[in-house]
Amino acid sequence: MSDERKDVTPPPGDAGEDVTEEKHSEKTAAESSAASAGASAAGADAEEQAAKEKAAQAGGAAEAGEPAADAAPAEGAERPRRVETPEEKEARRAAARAARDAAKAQAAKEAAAQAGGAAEAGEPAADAAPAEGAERPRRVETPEEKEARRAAARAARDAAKAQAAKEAAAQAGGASEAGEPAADAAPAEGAERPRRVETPEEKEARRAAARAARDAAKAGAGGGAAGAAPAAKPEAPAAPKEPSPNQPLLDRLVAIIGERVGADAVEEAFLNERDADVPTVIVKPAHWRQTAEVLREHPELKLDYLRNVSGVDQETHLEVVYHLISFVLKQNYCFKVKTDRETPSVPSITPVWETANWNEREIFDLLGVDFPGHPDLRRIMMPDDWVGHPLRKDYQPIDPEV
Amino acid sequence: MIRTEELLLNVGPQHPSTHGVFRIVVKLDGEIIIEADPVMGYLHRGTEKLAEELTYTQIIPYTDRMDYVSAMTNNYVLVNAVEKLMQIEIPERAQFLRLIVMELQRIASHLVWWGTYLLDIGAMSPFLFAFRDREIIINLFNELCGARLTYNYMRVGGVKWDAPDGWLDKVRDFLPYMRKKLDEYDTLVSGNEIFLARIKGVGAYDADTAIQYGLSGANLRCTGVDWDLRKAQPYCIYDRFEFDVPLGRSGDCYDRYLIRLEEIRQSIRILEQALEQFPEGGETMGKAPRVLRAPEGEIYSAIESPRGEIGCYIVSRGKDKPYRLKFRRPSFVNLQILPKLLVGETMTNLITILGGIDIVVGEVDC
Amino acid sequence: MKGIFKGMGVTFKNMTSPKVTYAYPDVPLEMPDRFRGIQHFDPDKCIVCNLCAKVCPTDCITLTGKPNPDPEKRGKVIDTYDINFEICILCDLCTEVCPTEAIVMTNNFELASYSRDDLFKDKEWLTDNNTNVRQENNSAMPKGGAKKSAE
Repeated sequence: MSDERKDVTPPPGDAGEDVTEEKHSEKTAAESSAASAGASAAGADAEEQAAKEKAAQAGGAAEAGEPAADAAPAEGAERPRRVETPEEKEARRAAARAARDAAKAQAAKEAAAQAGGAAEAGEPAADAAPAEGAERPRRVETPEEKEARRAAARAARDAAKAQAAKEAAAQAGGASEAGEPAADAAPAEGAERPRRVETPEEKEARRAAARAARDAAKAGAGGGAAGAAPAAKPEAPAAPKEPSPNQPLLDRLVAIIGERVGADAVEEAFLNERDADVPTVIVKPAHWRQTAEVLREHPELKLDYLRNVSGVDQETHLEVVYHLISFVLKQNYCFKVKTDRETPSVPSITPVWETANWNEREIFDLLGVDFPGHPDLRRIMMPDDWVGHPLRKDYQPIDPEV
Repeated sequence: MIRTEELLLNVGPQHPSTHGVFRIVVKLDGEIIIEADPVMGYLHRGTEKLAEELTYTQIIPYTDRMDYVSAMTNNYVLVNAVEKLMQIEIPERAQFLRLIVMELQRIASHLVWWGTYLLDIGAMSPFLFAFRDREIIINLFNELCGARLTYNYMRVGGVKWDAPDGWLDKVRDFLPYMRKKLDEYDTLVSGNEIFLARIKGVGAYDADTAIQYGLSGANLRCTGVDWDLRKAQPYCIYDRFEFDVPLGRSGDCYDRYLIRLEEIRQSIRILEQALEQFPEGGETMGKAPRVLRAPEGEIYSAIESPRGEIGCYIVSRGKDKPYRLKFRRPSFVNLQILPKLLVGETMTNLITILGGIDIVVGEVDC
Repeated sequence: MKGIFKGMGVTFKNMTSPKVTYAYPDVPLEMPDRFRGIQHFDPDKCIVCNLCAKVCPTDCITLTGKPNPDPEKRGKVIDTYDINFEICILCDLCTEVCPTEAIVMTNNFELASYSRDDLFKDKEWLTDNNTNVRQENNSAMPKGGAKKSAE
């Protein structure tokens, strides 16, 4: 595919002025790679553009991609307007996210098409799924809780992603027709899955569904790439909805905290899908110190080793994240404590795990969280007379020269 | 009537035995330390803050500069976390190359420790021997990725370079040489009475203390706790190889010394097996997108660096840059036990104990 | 006591072993081909795509383009190209993303100077730095693009 004439789309940003519109002439490998690199840059910029404004212009030239690009992002962009039912913010946000992802997938596809030159094969398939994804949240009008919507959005996003990945793969591999239909089927399947979960099942089931959907989508993408279509197809629908093996652990953990510390100690409990389903519990600051002692001593938990403490500025609030492990039972857990930004304060757990000592000092230093109960809370990295907490998102150095 | 007066002594930040710009303020009663306060931050570059403005690929060279004695494992901890978050598959050949460079790095890192530790204690020639042998590894890395310390070798999705022609054979030749040299090291140092008198029983602690302080690596295993992430939570392809995790009993500096030397032998064992099974051909770069956009979510992923558990906690908001990146640095966590160990020790043992913990200040300060 | 004698034995044995030190400043060091030294820049190949400046983790590259003087051709040609070696960490990312290999690494690494200002290298200097240019470039491009490995 190296000796084709490339139309490099000028991206809207600064790169746009620099990348030339078209290059004929020498068909060296370097030349073609230039085009593809340019195109990918174009794709990256185009995608942001598409999300922000109403797409169309972003794509620029590229006749092939035009109609498709319009359709999906526009669809997506219009989305929130139609949500007139008094759903909470969450729904809208989820929808926007899905729309954005769809747009992104579209843009990625665009770029891939340009680069590879051989666009036709991928075209119809790509439209279907992201559009599907973009439309998804609209139909979720029943007053389900946050969770369901989130799951749906996630599934949609994954589907879109899978689609984009597949596209790229197909192009790269020389457009293996075999992979195409199977890959289509699977992500679409995945995107549709959560929609059917409308019954008021508990959180768990929905989450499992989302996960299954993701797996299906992934399988689809993999299938597309490898060109091993038949193998992927039967797998996708068969992806089991079984809950994670960590689910009982999480339930038990919540039960233990509920019974030993107080029913209101746990703010939220979930499995972190991104991180191998680590049971994650958000504990109220007031109960954190007592919870920590229970975690360490309880025979079913025995969390004797504190691996890591991190502070995160989430802009709306600050968060301290603890990663714990039991050397006895070899089980990982993650705990979070949220605190407000104005007067952040989280009880120190240094008396429980000595590891927390310097870690808490570091968080105090860089994020300004107070740890009442800490034996020696002072700055550790920055000089003692430093003003401000550098890891805060709104940090402005008092002396920009330093 | 003889009376001693308390003396406040400042060790560092430029003291050669503090392994970088690190300072300890000690309160002395005669020659006995009654209080020690480590002061750090001289090498704090704000990597975690800088990383929030950088794409994932751009952060990789920054990780080289954290633990600059073991940059390969730092590279790995970051790319591994991103790969897990994005669910990217790594080609077989890249996995092997990663494993090989990480184990070579472990040998190199332990050699640096061995040489400098003995230099701290007062033996000059082991330092020269260790650096002579480490130079071979450094040259191998230089051939592989074009730098001697700051490799920037791994990428999300694979590794930057395939092994050049004949490189694997050079690694193969190095292993028996290193084995022979290790025996030489043992003859030279391990049985030396002066050396034993200096470090046996010094800086000892038990397993409960080690766990309480969150120690990892040789500092934890010297108390007999069997915890090596390569075995306990296998990453990369460590589960395919046979190796032992050396454990100590007494938890003193001597046990830590023996464990590190034994770990070099085990690394050689892993390398021999890895070279044996090294796949013919194949890609070194998987299917990673050009623009790395990690999906929204968070992940904590940890591996066993030569100094202990190095971890990477990423909070992603779906952008190509991390929203928050936090490194769990083993040197930083391990160093916490220092003030406790120093109380009641003599001034001469300060360096013995500090050296035994094996810190790299670039990593302590990050 | 025995340990000390055994140790001394190793020391004496090493007295006769061949030297492993380099005679560096007197004899120049030969670096392997992949060595990441000071960049060489080829203005004719540059398409002013700005990728190197974008990928640079320390923002040490600044470049500007100008319209192509040849009215037959479209696009831009490079006007100025500067690398600030005070902050360049020689990480190799610029050469990795460069689609035309206009910027490549060389094996030259001696940059020491009496003034910081000398470390600011412009297009002419980088173009003249054309010895020991690295042969093998760009190997970490993700698969999927049109790019095949450049030998």
